[in-house]
Amino acid sequence: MKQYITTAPDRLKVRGVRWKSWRPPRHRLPEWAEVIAMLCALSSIAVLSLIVLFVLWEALPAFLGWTGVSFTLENRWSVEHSKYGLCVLLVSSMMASVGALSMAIPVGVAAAIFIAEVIPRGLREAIKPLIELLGAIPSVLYGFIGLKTVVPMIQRLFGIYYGQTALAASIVLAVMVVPTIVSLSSEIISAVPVEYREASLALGATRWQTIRHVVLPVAMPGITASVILAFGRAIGETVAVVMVAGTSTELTKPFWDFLQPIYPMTAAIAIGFGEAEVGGAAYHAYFAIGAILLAFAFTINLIASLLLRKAPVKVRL
Amino acid sequence: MMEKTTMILCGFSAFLLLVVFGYICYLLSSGLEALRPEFLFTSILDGGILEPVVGTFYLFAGATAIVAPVGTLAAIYMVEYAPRGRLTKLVDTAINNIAGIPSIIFGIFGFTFFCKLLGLGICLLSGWLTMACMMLPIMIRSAEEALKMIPVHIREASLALGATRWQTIRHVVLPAAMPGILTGVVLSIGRIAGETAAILFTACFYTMRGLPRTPLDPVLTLTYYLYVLILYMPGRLEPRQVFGLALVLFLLTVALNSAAFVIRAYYRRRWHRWT
Amino acid sequence: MDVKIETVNLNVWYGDLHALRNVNLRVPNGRITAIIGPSGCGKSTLLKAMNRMLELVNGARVEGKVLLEGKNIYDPDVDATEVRRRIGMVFQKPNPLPKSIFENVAYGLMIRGVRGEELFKRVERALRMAGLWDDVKDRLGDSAFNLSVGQQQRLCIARAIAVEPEVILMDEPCSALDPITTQRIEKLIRALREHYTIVIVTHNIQQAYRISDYTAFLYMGRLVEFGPTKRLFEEPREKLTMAYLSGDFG
Repeated sequence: MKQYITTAPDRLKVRGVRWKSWRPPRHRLPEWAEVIAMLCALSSIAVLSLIVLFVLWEALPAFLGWTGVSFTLENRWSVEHSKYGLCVLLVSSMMASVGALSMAIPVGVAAAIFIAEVIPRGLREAIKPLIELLGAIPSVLYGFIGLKTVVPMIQRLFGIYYGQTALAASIVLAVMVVPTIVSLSSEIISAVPVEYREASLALGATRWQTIRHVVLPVAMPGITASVILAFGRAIGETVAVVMVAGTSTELTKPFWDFLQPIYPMTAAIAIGFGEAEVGGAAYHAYFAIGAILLAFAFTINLIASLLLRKAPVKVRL
Repeated sequence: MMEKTTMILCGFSAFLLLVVFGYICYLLSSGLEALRPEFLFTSILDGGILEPVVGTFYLFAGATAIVAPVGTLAAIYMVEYAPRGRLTKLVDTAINNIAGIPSIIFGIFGFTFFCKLLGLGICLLSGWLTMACMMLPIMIRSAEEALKMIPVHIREASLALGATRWQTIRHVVLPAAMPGILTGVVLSIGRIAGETAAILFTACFYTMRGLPRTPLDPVLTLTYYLYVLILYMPGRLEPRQVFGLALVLFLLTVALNSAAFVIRAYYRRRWHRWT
Repeated sequence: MDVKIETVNLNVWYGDLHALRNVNLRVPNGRITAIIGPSGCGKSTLLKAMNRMLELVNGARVEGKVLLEGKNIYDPDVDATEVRRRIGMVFQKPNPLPKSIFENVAYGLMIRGVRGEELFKRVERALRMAGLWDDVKDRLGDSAFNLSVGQQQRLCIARAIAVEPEVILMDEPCSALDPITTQRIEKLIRALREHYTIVIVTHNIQQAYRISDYTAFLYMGRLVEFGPTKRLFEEPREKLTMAYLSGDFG
């Protein structure tokens, strides 16, 4: 997911005046161009419906146990042995994502504050594209770099043989999602009305006091939204985790031990789907995981857009 | 005192990110030596990356050719024709949600729908269609924004002269909105530029040889090639060549993002003068 | 005349624009001083220079001195936040913070570590002085945006008073308000005279005449004339002042 954020041009910022939409009068016959355009617009709804429908359709047999697959919460995922313990996949995804966020949030929010409040405008315009570029780097490249740097580093640091671990995945994911947090948060912070800052400073508050007591509370819903979107990106990330998280059929150590290989949902699909026989038990099982991922994605989207509704900035997802 | 330390910490975080970025650049630069024309134009059978380069281009071109008109027309409907109501809100929601779907889901959906159901098999065409689905939200959003930037009175002027709505759109609105729409095209290409998961099952076959001759042939892309090289065929290319491949991919990303950035900045400046 | 604030050869530039030229103004202690002049003459700039809010504007450059009871507030060893506490400001458009009524008034105190009973007492005192206490005492926890515009301006005044400044700067405090509310605020300003030195910028000549003790007339960044209000209005010494007061321009 990428966020492309625009602040509405000044003309549109006038309070209460939404873009004066060009609306045609009612009761007129549509011209052919309109029909075609409408069909194109409907295509977006069609695409979404198709995706949801198909994923659910193919997932249903697995969820309902028709194919002899029963999802269990046991700690083993191995298609060859007909073991479908969701536990492994879910916990792995969580470990990687939460681990990533725990690193990305402090760095991201702090950097966003710095960029939005401290840096002069010219420098800001130079740094923001670089950070956006960081977020635009293809995931396979991140996986590659992770393999070349993070994994060996972990092997050396902790003296373990197999460096593809949850920790590696967390670090790589953290770098991937930090730009999401930084871009969106810094826009939100910059959009906090200048009147609030002026009022605070005129009362003799220091700049940091103003940030802490006035700017951040106002920006909080937006910052939270950026964190949630970052979480969504981390959960949905496929290729990078395949390359650095290792693959394991079970989690041999407790979930707080990040020095073990993990098997997130996305990686399971990426690796297993290609082998799965169409219509077989595993095939439906992977779609079921896909359905779970979809549920995550939609929930995250919903929460984020509710939070962003309060923001004075127009955000594109 | 507290204030100074907090500021320094925040600055350090920002600095850290730049350091990471710099390190990535540095790391990839070791592929620079492999970046010779022979590398780009030799077949993968001989240690080059011709097929992935061409395949990537084919994939982007086709997907863009599909999504640019559809997305633009959809945006035209949303902005110029549609009465404000449930339909526009529905499309908005749909777009938002599609944008949030993880790419692997597009992969398995594309496989089931385009490859299996529509019988296209794993090929370029399936890849195009899958990519088009992913690019749709950004294309529509950017086109919408571009169209909304055009002041209302321009449309009124055209209609007052007796033009039909479509004529107004075609001759007045669209040409003016073209830079913004082009930005949208570049942005949506940027969206799928680094994609691997979506084409994993829909367009790519790692045992394939040669360039696709028809859209019904499978294809190799830079991203996919790097992926299979690392995971399944680690010894196939020399390390510096692998870095070269990685570097090419990186440069492609930089180029696309820079293009989008430049167009956006130029466009913003241009419209500031107008409004 | 007991001088509270004095500007000495004050010059301000916005980039290349020379906004204030060699302004030497002496603001008397305990009195209301009005600054009048046509649009763009530098009134707001002068005001912002007095509490170091000008530094927050990109590209603004200040030369000269501003003495608060003899000490230059632009000296490097002077803390700007302390200056702003001693010299408070009320803005043209009421700008309550996005917090409750109580928190707005308490803000200046809270950031300085005042808590509990003491905090509540001072907030109540400030609200009483601003004439807002009776209106809001039952809803101190309500959002400040629930107040009418006039009440919001009173709130901003109460907020500025709460930190116990010595001077209150007011930048056209009534221009966003309707005539009746303006009257009430003017009454409040006159009442505040007992406790604070007030400098008020206004584009409304009659308002300056009504409420101020001293008036300064600014034109194109220069201080043209300064003196007791009655005298300045009835017997202006400068032709320019006379022209402005009779409405020839601005």
